[in-house]
Amino acid sequence: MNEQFDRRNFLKMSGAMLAAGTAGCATGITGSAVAGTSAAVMTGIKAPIPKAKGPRLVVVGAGTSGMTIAAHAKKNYPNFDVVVIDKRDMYSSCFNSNLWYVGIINMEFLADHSFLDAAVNNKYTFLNATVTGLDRASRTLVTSEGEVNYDFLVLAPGISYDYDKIGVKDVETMTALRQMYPGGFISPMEHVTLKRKIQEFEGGVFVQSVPGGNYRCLPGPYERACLMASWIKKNKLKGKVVILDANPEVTIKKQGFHAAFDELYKGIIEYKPGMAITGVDVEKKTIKTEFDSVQFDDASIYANVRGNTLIEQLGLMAPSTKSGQKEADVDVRFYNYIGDPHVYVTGDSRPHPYSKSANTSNTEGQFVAKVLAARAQGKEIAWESPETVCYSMTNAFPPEAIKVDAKYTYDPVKDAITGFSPDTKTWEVRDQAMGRAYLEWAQGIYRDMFG
Amino acid sequence: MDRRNFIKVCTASAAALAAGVHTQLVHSSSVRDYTRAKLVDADGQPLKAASLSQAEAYIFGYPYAGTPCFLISLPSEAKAGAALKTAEGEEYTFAGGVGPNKNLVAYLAVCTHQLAHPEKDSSQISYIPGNSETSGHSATITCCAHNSAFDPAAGGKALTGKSSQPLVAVRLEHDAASDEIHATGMYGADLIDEYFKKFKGKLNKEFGIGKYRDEASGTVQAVLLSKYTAEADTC
Repeated sequence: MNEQFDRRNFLKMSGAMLAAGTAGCATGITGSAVAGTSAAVMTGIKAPIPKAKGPRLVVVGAGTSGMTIAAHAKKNYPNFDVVVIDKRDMYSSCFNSNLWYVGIINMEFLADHSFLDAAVNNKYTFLNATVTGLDRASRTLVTSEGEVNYDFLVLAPGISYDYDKIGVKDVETMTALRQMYPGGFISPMEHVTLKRKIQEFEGGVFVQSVPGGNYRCLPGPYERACLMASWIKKNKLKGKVVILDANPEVTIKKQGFHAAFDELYKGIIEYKPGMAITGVDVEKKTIKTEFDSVQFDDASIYANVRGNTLIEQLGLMAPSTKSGQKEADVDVRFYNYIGDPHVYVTGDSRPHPYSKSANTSNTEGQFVAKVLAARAQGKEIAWESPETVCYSMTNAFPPEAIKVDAKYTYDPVKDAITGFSPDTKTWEVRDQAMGRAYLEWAQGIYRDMFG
Repeated sequence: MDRRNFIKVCTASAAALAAGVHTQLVHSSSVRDYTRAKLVDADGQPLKAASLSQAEAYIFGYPYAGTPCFLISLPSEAKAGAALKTAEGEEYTFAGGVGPNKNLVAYLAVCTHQLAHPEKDSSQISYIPGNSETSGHSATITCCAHNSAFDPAAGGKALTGKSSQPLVAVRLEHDAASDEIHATGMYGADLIDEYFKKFKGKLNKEFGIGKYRDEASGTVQAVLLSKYTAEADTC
């Protein structure tokens, strides 16, 4: 089945994102006190990496965006000397992690991908370090392992959670939520905890919340609810999944998800739209919304999403008029920080109304690699839309999926992304063929990133 | 034989014509010449152009045991002449189909986007004789993983999706007297090294250590995709 996306739907979605994001974002740093410099402590100690043998491209963040750019940079411009920096020393993918919770895939599927192999295969240097500062004037990145100079810098640090937007303002509650009821859309630790929760669930109410705004992986929380419901059904548990959705309706592939709720999980999934969380009482296991409160036995509380805090710390955050989610202030088409052709922000810290998903970052990263290659040679290239091919498993036993294939439209007058492209399609009748394609979809992206 | 033994196309073409067979004339500066191999069925009998199914593609391992290729009998002639270009910028021209109706073509069954290929449990890449929702046309090769589509009647040209280059073509030869088909080489992008590099572990497991690199020679078995894989998915 195809559902044509129209401009009205897109605007509704992106408008909702901006509205949802605006309320709590008045305090961001939109520039640094010293022009081009964040609060970095420059030490003069250089990171232990080989001397640059060509224009140095430094990529921070070894997720889908950063790894794709790094993999394609030298293919587009062999003279590049590429360095990838990540604070993690082991990869485990966020995309596909929902499938692991109920045994459709194993951990090897998610984590059997080496940063070292990727560096060798794609002829770059991997540096396991944490970024602590940036001096744009001298083009110096400061890390826990020393300083790295760059000709081009790409920051692709992903997202952070914004608990403030779900009414959680005290650090104690925030910490409790992060540790006890993780959203599961950032780190592998969250995935491990969520898998344990699902596998240990013996009955009762499990709440899966869906934030407002442009959150990472639009269908992800609904998919997780479906897979957990599938698990409950298979194991004949006396339990249910309550989806607390801040949005007025399922945000993507709604026909496919509603079909699963109604046909597969009647009495197991309770879908509650328009239920933005306004606070959580961890002790009493109560979630407050504007109109109601919900008691839970266990939960995954997915707070709103913002640009990674690193973007704010490095002084690259957009003003609230441009991004309601503390994302980076970058050129709409070419991703350079406004006014600085040497610094780029890509992936889920971008301010675009793109779906914050793996395939978006993968296709966007391939384009950004071309932009960088062109600019390193003093050239410019035409804008290309990223593409969001995205599967969602709505049944685990047997695995059945639905899918969307979206591109985006750029309006040169507004200098903005204004909607989905006219050829955007959805396939919303779940089937096993798409369940199989889902797995190959992921493997293809891993191959592209890790070589 | 060294598979990187490139030969000038005019030499190959002249030799083929002298032998009285129809070889695809590949207008490229170079093709990759591999051992000539006759395509046979599961019983070892030569495949005949006249009796090929048009309902789906056949799969055969060429030029190595571990490199799956499609043999396709198209509903009509695949005319030579489509101008093609690899991701590296090498330009070449589609040689057209072979056989009495010039409708037989073959391609490496590896998606040039992110290398999906037929596996024993399922295949995301398939030839669809009827209309495909992904390509919007009939008689196309689609890869469902990321919605790519290719035109087998035009040298494997990419139609939709993010692939930056055509499918890799297999050079075929048809003997009019016997109606038999041989594979003799490849042209287009040279993907095999990358494919082997990315799937080495899996191929070792599937074929035995290093056996996936066994070069095809003499005869090569071609079976219908539906016999090769448990699920030939289309989109």
